[in-house]
Amino acid sequence: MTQAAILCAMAVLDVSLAGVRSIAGRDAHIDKGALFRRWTFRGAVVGVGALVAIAAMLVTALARAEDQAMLYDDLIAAGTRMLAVFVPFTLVLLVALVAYVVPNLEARCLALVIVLGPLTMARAGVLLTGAFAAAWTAPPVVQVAAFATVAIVVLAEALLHRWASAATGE
Amino acid sequence: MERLEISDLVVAFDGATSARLPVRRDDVVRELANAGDRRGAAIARRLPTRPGGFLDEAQIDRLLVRVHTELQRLSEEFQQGRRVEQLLGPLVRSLPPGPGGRRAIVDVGCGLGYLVRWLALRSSLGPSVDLVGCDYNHALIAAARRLAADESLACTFVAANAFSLDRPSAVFVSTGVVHHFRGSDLDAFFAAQDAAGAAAFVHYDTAPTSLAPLGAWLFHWARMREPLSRHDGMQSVRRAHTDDELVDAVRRGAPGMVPVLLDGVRARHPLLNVLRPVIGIRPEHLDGFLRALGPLAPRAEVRR
Repeated sequence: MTQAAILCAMAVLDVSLAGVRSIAGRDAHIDKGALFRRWTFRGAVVGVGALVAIAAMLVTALARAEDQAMLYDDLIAAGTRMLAVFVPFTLVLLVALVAYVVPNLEARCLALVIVLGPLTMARAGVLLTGAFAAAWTAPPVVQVAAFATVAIVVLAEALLHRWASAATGE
Repeated sequence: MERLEISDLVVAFDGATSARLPVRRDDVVRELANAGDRRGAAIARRLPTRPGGFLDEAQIDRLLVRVHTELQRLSEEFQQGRRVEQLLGPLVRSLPPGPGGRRAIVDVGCGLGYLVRWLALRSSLGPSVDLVGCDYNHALIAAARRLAADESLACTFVAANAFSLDRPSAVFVSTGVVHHFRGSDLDAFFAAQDAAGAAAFVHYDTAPTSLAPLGAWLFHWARMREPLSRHDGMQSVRRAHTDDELVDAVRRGAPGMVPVLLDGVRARHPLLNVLRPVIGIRPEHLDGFLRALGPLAPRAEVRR
């Protein structure tokens, strides 16, 4: 269950940040503190919605399984392999975010150029790698669940971008 | 081969009256195609037109506001306001009082006026400084005024030639503008500031380092949505002037001012040297400015 809790926390964090990314570059005011807080919250809400969808999928799969205990163990093992991919990515991201809020131009520039910019581009690949890692050696139902989970997180970001686009009249 | 930015081609203004001139989409497509820019031509081919094959000005303006809003995101992430402020602060403090005790800081080609509005929000340059943004594009200026009014910022925006404002001893600034001036136009750009009686100028643009093309590709794809933004962002980095090109243009165009580089292309690691300014200053103000720079002074290179 610890693995599930960590994955849930990372998913909500990821989609919360997607909320900020979805509105960034669409509003040209200078003081965007309140705007970014609002879209972080919206991202978190969408992230929780995504988790509910994922949980519903997994509960359904467990309910229909012939050997529920075995499927549960397979899901935990898949989640652990997913964590092996996502935890390093998240830690690097968090360290860069800390560096970015340091009031020093050089530190901020390095955090942005070396980590935050490239990681935005790498995110889709990391999600896919996480799905492959989870699916590795797993039974078909877990493989489907792994890719469906990542697809739901990707869809959550797409939903936020559409929402932000509509909200800004684009 | 000449590198072109689509945003330079889709709007045209009468040099004398600054009135908007109609632009044919086919002409834009042809110009890009002739420059060997197939991707740019493909983007231009999808631009909206009105009867007669002319670009639809209202839709083009809305597109440019979106593009500049995306561009502002990069300025925010790269702390462009702070970069300029750390230079303008010492510069303004070191200059003698302007006429009537006031000094204008004029942002040339200000777009949505991000820099001017950021400085206005900070109020760090003091109450005797007038912050003015200039751009030929009325739609961008209207948007800048609306944004400034929304946040009650003390700054003004004018759709006019920045060098005809009659603000003697002004300090002209810009970000990401100088690469738009090529050849003798770059000399003329600096000459206009000398002739306008500027006390100094500070023009930031992309540093053409070895990592700049990769960085530009990465950030314009990661942060921008409009194909035009991505195209022009890449082109602007490829068009960035070298240190020597900028310094030589200042020497030729503005002989009454001393060129100074801060963080020249070879002076800093490419990872840290994303944007760097070329500075021009009247000789009588140079020593005071260098003293006022404080910890930044060792990074300044006077190129008489």
